[in-house]
Amino acid sequence: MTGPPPDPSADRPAEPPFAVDTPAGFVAFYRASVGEVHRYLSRLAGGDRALAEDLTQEAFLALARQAGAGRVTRVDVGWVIVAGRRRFLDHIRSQGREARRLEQVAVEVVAPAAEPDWSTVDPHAALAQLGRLPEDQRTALVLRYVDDLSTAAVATQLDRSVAATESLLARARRELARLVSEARRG
Amino acid sequence: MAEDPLAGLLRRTGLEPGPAFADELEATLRAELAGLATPTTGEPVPARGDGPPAAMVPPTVAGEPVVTLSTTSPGGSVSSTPNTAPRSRRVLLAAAAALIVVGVAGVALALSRGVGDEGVAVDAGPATSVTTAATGPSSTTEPTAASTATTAAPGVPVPGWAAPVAVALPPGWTAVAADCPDPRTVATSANRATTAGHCDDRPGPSILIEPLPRDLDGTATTCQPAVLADGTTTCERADGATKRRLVLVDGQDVLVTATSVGDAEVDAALRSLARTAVAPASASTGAVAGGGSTAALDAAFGPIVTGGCAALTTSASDPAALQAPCAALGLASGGATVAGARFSPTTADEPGTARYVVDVTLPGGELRSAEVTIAYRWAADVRQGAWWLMAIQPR
Repeated sequence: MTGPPPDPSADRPAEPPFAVDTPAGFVAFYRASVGEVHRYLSRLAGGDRALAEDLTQEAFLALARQAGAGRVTRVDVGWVIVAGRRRFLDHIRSQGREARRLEQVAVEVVAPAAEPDWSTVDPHAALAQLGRLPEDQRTALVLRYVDDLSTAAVATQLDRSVAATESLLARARRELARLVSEARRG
Repeated sequence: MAEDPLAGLLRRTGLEPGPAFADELEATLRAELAGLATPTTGEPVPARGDGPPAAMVPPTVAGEPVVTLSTTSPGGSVSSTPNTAPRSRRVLLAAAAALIVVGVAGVALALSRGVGDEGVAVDAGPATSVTTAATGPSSTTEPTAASTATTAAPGVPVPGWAAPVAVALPPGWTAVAADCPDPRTVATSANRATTAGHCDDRPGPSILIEPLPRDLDGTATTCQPAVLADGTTTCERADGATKRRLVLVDGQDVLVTATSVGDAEVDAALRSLARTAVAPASASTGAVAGGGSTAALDAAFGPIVTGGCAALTTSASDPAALQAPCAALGLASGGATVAGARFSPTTADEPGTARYVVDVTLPGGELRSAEVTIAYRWAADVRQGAWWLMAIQPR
């Protein structure tokens, strides 16, 4: 059976849509993407606006430097999101391991909570409760459920074992459910 | 496979950026790009609103007068009044990548003000001069004979500042790249302001010289109320080999951060800057450019001068203000030609200001004096605080 010749470009990754190799292009990209970047980083920051702004700024500035140096010419919003995420991860990795150990002990006594119907939860309320989660739990949830990373990939990002990350995700989900439920009960 | 409801919920969360933040960051990015990138197409950066954001407005822009001051007396020296208040603060820099040496047009060490235990002595050489340049970077920043310094190549323009000019480095010093890549957000009493990155962790002996918007200092005389985001107060921080002090260079606060460098070397560097940033001695005759008239003075100082000799307030804003105090100097509008002038620094005691004593030699030889207070234009908006940075290292 014969058919049309394969398109040689079919498997080629699409070129990022935004040219940032000129100031005008960069500013256009910034304006188009700053909202999405900020929203994403505010999730990681648990609704901490100041932190989200700092991360957003650092991410875009990183791109500006790369673009200014000619090392990056075309990007999509993912570039900046990943840059911001890296900075956030650097931040939480710098937190003491002792705190992490204490947290792990503490979570053993967290009682399981029935999950609410997530589809009925107000996003603003969810963000508020997300902000109450420990940083690593919140990060794990965002990486897993927003970025759709595999558990193994989340583990890599958080510098943990897969097993520990599975446990972390479970605790995070449980804790978020508990917080949301508590908030609903007033 | 159906999406996990939790994933759907989480993806709906998120805060929109505030408009002020978005604008501010855009301005920061513009400045960053202006300093780092050379557009290949020549296309302009699209402006938001009616014009360039405040952060893009340089303190000295083309078309505006630049004043070059030298404070000298034959064989004399000018010593700053020791500042009794501890006034130093952690360095925050505008992100200036790969900056080599940046001289500021019109910079002269008209006044040095020490911080902490000691002042900065300025030996400004034998000339007495006041010169003004009509536009842009001063062309008078060539080394004087008194300086045996090497001249560094012009550095990369820092956003918000006029094009850098070559400045002479003290003997034994060379320019090095200064990369301050981590802009921070600082909190001041008034607002949050995106400025600057840490440059104070540079390895090895170094001197960083950077302008410092006074607003970020919180107050001129105390540590309060500004506190950096990381909790470090703005007050003296002399950890280990790093010392910081604030001096005035041509009416601008300049933070000097010296790491593993002795005070004497820092002073030498500042003195060299003073020598090389001012006009050569030959420029002292007919000190005020443009005919030496009131108009020239006004043109020179109009944008920045207020208070003190109130006559030197910008004529555009208040022409009548030219009349009274400066009449005593023979500088009434349309009045005497200034044959010479000398600016003597005094300490500034108001945030965003610096005071100078202006000595004017009238045509008949009479010397009259007045005190002038210069307000920094960029004091009103920390984002407008333009920065320049010079990093030098001993060989």
